[in-house]
Amino acid sequence: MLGKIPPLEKLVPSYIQKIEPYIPSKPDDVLKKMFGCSTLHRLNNNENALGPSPMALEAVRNFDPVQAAIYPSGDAYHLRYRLGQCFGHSPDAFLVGNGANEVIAFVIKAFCQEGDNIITADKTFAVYEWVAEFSGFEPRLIPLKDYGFDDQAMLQAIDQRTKVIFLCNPNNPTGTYWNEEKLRNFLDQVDGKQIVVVDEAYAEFVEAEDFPNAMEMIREYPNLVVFRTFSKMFALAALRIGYLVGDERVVDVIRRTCVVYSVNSLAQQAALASLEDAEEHMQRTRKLMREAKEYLGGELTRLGLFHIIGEGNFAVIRLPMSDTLAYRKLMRQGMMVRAMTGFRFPNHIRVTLGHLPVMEDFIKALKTIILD
Amino acid sequence: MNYGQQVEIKVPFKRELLPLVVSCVEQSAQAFGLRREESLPLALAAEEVFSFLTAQAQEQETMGLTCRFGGYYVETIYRFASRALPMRALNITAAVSVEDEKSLEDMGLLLAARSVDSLRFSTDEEGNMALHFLKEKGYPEFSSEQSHSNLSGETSFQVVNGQPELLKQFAGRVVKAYGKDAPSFFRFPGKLVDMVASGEYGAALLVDGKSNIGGGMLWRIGSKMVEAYGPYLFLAQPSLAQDLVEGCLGRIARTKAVCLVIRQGTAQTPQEYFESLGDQALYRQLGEDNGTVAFIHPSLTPFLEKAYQDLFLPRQIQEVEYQGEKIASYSAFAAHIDREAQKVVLSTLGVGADAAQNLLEHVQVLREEGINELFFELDAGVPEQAILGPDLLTAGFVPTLILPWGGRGDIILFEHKKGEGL
Repeated sequence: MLGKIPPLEKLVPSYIQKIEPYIPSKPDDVLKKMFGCSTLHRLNNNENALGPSPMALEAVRNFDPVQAAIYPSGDAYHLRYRLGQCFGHSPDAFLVGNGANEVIAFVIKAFCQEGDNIITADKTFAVYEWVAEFSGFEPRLIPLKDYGFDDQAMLQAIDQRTKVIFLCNPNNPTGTYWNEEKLRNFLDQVDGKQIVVVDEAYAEFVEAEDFPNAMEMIREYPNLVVFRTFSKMFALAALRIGYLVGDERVVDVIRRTCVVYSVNSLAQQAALASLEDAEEHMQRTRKLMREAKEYLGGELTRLGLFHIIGEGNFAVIRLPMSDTLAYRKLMRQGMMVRAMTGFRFPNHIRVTLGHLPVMEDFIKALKTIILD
Repeated sequence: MNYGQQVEIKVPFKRELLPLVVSCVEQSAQAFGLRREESLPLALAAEEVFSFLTAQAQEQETMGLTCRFGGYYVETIYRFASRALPMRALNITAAVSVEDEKSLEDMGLLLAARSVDSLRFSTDEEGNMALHFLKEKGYPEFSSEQSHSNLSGETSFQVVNGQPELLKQFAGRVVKAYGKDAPSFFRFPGKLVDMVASGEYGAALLVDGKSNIGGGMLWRIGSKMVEAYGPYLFLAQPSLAQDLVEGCLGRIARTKAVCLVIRQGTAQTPQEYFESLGDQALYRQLGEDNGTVAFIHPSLTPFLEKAYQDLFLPRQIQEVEYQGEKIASYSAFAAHIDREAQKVVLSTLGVGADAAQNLLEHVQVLREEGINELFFELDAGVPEQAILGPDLLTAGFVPTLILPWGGRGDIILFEHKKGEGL
């Protein structure tokens, strides 16, 4: 006999009922069949076109399959020690998660309770807002100002129930960033009363000299927590590994909410190896990004399309048409971009920067849909 | 009273409990803000539904009754175990013969169906049925003598959410500027306030520093599809229409909705935000469409293939044909009637063996009632509906456009050509 379906309307909290599950894109083979394209360039997730560093590739190749039977280090012990050496913090200042998304949830769970709120921007990485919402906390969304986080408006939005402020620096998708002076002023005004998270998922791509060293600033501002990921610059997105770093006393609180054993052994070993040849890998990637930005910026200007190419490995382009229609038209030509309505940028697409031949193919495809 | 608050009772199917059911509905409806005369159609429906079901009930069976406060309406929901509900009685064309006892039994349900503003039928995962009756509150109509301050093109406007007093002003300005081109609910400012407050509708308004409304957009939040109205602009600044559309999209971008449709745009609607679905609708998706399955009868495959090609939609077409399997005896179609526009949109409540004849009767009755525009919405996401394809074509309906994600899957909109299929 089939079991009885539970009364979901009564069991599910109202703040969950109004949320739609995030549906990731289908696998490449399915998408190619659906859209009738023979090749597919994924320019939608800001992955590094160069792939993992040579040392990371070697670590993956050398991974002993027998280790699949053994639990990983539950708190990424060796990786935390190596990160500590690299960045001059205690290993206990680091907390490694199954991708940076997981550590976002750790922070919100650690500090928020019913009636609390978090503050972030309206047009930024959506996960801060989502995690707050599906946890039953209010996300206060501050409109961007000149495509960047608005420090004064964020400060004004703080109240007694504000627990965490999320900055995305540089911002995904606009590529704008706060320099050290601006970040320092902001932290001074927050005055240690809230946790300030600076998500630096794209920090390794930044070439601007005045970009802040937030990890270093933790010593002066113990309420500052910095997120980093191995998914973007280090191209380990499939392995899901990211981390946060903060004052040990703050991280000790966050650790209470974290899921141990959530980061697998292969991810830990590949991340460790990435740190060994990080500098060379970053230099090669930045060179590729410079070339792609120069090419794409020139072509988009020639096409008369408004675009934002800031810090990071992506560009945002305003189209004279619906971005979601553009997405489907580009998919027909094997170009997968990010439609930006979900980021509250209707009629914009975000494109991951990569090798020049792929960028050239993208521009060709773009021309066909806007000159059609 | 909070929106969504409800009264629930579980009632055994016993004739002597009829007064309890009727009283519960009537008193709840009045407590939720309906005037006595407005609550009576719901009470009538309660009487007819409970009486009908009790006559056919088995021992120990019960009915769940919910009376829900929707702000601008009261909804009563009857939930009961799966049984042979006389679907035909829910058709607008249902005829009653005084010589047919069975038909007379169904008459009460027919009266119930016609006495309310809206009737919906649903089933849950276990096959239980639910009948939803909805009755709207009455509101005072906007007086054209009410005046508003003149707007200045020099003023700067901000897009804000709809607050009650601003919404009332918005409604009044829409009526004055757009008249009958705007939906009729704008004529009732209080209703507009309640519609937005209920959470079923959203609004983005352009407001200047003196709380003058320069324009606005309203939208209804469905399960997957948002239906928007506007943008309405009260001064000639086209860029403000863009601000409104972006304000609307920004507010729904991270909700459950996957698409937005404007069935009746305004002259100010910025076309570049939308895809055209023929003359009848502007449309856009809110996220990346990575495909679904469309169930359709083979007779409609060529139309669907071309439509999907033209719209760049990734779809897997799965053909469905009726092959003699057992289906319900009777079909039922819901009719959404817009008497002002003399327009009716039919959709499927239940598929049955009499569908072909039933469709023809709908066409005949509606044409005789002077309906000019007659449409049918077929949901390609529901496999059972696919077998209606040939019946629709026979009845003179012609597929005209696809409304992607308009239902459980894509909606195929058919238009009936006058003189066809009769």
